[in-house]
Amino acid sequence: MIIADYQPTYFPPQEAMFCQQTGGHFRTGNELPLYNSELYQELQRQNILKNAISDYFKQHLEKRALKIAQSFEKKLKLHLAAFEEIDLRSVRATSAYATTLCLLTNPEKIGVDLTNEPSVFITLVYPDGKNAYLEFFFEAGKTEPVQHNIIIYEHKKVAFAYSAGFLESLKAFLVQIPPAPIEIPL
Amino acid sequence: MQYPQHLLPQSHYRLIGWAAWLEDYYLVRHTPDTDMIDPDTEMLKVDYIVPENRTSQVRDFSTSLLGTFGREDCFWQIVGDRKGYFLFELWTPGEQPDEPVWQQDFQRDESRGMFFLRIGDIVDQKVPYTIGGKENFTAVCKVKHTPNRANFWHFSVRWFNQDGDIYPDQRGSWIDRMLKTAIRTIIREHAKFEAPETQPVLQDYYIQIHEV
Repeated sequence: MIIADYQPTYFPPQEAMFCQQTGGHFRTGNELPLYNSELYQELQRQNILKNAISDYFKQHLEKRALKIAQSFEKKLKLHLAAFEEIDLRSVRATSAYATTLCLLTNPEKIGVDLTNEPSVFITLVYPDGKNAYLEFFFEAGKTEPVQHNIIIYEHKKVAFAYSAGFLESLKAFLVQIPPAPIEIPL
Repeated sequence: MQYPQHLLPQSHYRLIGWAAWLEDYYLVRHTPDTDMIDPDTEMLKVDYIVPENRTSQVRDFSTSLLGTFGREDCFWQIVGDRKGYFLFELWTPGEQPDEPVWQQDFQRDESRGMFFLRIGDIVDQKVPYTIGGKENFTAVCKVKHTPNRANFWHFSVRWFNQDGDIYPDQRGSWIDRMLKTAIRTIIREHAKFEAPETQPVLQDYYIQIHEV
């Protein structure tokens, strides 16, 4: 599996930021009152719990991101002709960046595909009947995607559609589906 | 082998205009093989939505109306020098086209797969794009009868706006790309893999009525 040259630039910092912001855990309201316990508070004071949970979340996200990256490389090989005049470092970097942000929204399923446009097409399936699609297009000689389209469906109907530059559309997407508490399968 | 007669347009046929009965009918589209489900999302593979070649199929996404056209008809493949005549040039009412000749003009490919779209699920779906937070562009999905000389049941999935049928000015234009994303997503959302129950289209819907 060729993934050695996959640009890791965006993976850890984004996840770390999320873990830092949320404390790496979430509360449902039904849990035992552990958060008030002396043990918990002591661990928090020492930053042990926070670091351990952050590491756990980070590993979970990295594992998911790595699986996507491996699948992405396989698909990229099949579409090399369509991407022959495109800077592949840019394709990898922007795809990794978008994928990481998408993972923070905690989709139930995620698919990252390439098309012959050439474009990268991300599918996100959420458990509440919501699906989101992101497609960003590349052109020869351009370092960033030239267009980024977002369409969100709710119960099979279009609920949101946006088209702009790469980062602007990502931002619009994250306003619609913000980063969510992440449940780690046991 | 004779070409299936129920697929050929006849001079006494007429175009099928939009009507409410179409909503419960299904469109079928063939895929290169039966391995069409993406394991990551359990949806139709993205590569199978728009064909592997680089031609734009956004304006005219080819399908067939399931009913008189049966699932087995997806296996017929038009080939050879007259492919343009049979597939790409549309049939015009009153015309009696040539019949495709076995091996010369058509063959059978049973390795193909297929997926289905319920017309009522996709027709009139609006994709109300906001462009850069400023402009708006709304595309509405329509289904149109576009018979070719080898398949009277050929239907196209098309996009309309307030001015009518949308013709992207060029491949790779901003609108062209918005419509491409729209067609990929609407098909991923609504593609079905289980063959639906079907019934032949009533002749009244497509045979010309001559006034006495």
